[in-house]
Amino acid sequence: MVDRSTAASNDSSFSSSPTRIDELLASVDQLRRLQRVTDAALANLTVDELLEELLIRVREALSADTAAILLLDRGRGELVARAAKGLEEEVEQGVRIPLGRGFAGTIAASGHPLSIYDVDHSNVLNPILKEKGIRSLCGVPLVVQGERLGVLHVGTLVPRNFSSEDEALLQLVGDRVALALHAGMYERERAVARTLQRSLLPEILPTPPGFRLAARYVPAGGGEVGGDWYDAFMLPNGSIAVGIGDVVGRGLGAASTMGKLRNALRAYALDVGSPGDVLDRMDRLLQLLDPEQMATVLYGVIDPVELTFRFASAAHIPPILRDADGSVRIRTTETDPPLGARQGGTFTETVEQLRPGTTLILCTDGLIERRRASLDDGLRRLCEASAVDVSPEKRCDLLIEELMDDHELDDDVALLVVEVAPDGGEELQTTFRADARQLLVLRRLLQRWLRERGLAPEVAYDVIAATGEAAANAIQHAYGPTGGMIHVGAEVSGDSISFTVRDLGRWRFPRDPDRGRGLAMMQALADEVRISRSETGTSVELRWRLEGNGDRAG
Amino acid sequence: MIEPADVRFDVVDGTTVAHLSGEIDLSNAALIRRSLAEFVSNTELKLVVDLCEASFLDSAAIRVLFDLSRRLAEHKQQLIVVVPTESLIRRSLEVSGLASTVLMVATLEEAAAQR
Repeated sequence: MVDRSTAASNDSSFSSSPTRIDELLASVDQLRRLQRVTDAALANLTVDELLEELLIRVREALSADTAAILLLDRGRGELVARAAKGLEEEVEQGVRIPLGRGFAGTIAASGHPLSIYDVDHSNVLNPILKEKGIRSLCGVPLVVQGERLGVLHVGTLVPRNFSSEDEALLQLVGDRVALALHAGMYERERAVARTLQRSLLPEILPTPPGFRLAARYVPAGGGEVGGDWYDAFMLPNGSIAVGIGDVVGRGLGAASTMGKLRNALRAYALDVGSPGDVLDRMDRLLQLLDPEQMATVLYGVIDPVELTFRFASAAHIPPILRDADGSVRIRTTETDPPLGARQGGTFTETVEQLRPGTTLILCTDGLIERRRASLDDGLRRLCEASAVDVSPEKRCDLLIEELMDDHELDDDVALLVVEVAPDGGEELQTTFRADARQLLVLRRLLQRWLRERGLAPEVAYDVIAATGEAAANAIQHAYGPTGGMIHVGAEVSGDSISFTVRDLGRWRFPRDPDRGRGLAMMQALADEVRISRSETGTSVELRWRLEGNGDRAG
Repeated sequence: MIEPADVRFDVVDGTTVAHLSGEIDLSNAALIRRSLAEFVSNTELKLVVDLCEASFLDSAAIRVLFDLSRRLAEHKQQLIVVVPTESLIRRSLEVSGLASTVLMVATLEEAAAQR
């Protein structure tokens, strides 16, 4: 529209009557004015600088006294002053004009340019225009890709008839302003969404004894953020909570809903526990906070003693389970709708028995969805790619590599892998973070292992209590506030069973007599305690003789 | 499903009874310590800690009981710990020396009978 009108005015003046010197001069002047506002140097400015500079130049080019940009606040249906020249108060005072009313409000509502020769202040809502004594106004809508962003207008203190060329020039500047604003908003939105997403993915995954976890988040191609997330954390009772979800849509809206759901999941997981109830509450919360949004979510709890995985799914991709023998299965369940899709209703809970060596794979559809293939094909490909025997970290890399190599990433991907440590038979090895909350899980792992070895409960209690003391000592004394890892190994050999608790820190020997109690208890509970300290860490070895199990109680 | 540790208070015939349940270790001993400290009043002659529902105590948890007994003794108050005879946690209380420091009984009735 702009190009056509400016070109048309030039054409007519050059071709139809070249002798009309006034018109020719006017055209040259118009060209010069045009050049002023399309100057390539403007491209290097920031959005704010560019708006400022364009306002100065358009005011000059149109010999106007004021120039202002108002942006549409869609939520409130109002225009808000964003930048102004000769009308700076408008921005300072945050003038707001209702959509459809007054001069700027009419332009924003209609989407058409508007000029007023003699401003009737009963129709102009902006008190500052009145105070300044603005007599004539010319305004254009700011539109990008059919989306109305606001209004650009200029005003004069003396009555002035804005010509169609003036209007066209103003529209040209308006289009430039609109593009800059749009790009700025888009870039800002993407940056915010990226930051939001990064801040919401767990920085470190839990490392409960007897389990290995790994996860990946891959943003969509082009860096656009979607609404996918994963989460894994320890519940106060030592269970492992895992969640994965996918908010429909992309950009800041999806990322912000994702943030709310992710926090809600954590809060409800601590409060409620039962996966079905957690999803039910998240569903109600989503309908309250973002009624327009929908999301698929899978939330489950792994009991480290019973090795059960109790989960509920709101239309999310089913869990994939890989057993120690390499067999892979899709754990299909009754299909409940996504969050935000219905009013009320419960979510079915499913309990899956895990075994030592089982790997649980949770993902979002970006990993398996292809343009010309069904979801079932994708799941099949995922199962095939999951058969290999690799560590969880390596598995994540492999799955992403194998499933996504031949395809442009048009959706983001979240992937979470949990492996139950394989049964090492007579041997047990586990490494976990030096965190007191892991002690409960360590006891669970030892309990299970000792039960499999057929040890009497009284001996098992002594072993668990003494090994726990050694681990608690390492947690308290081996590392500074930054923490570290603790390794526990167990072995049955001949007539004895031995446990080694190792850290890589500097074990400060407990000076406080109360703190020394842990050490004394270890010595009382185990048949043999050996502590070796070195520059590289401390190792506590506890040994029990297996004969005469029966007479140890009391 | 495993249950985390919990503490619940009861007053039976004028005596405060703290029922500890679940597993108490380094991760939650401080929480239990705070709950107990808030509840102990100056006026009573004794405090009963009921460990019938407790399935595990590590040295951090036992330290809480040691400290509690010391504090009560300073105010001429007595700590009575209830541990069933068959409970596995008796082992921890014995090897830590708590059993020889505080009065340990097998039932709540025995604790109530103590003067």
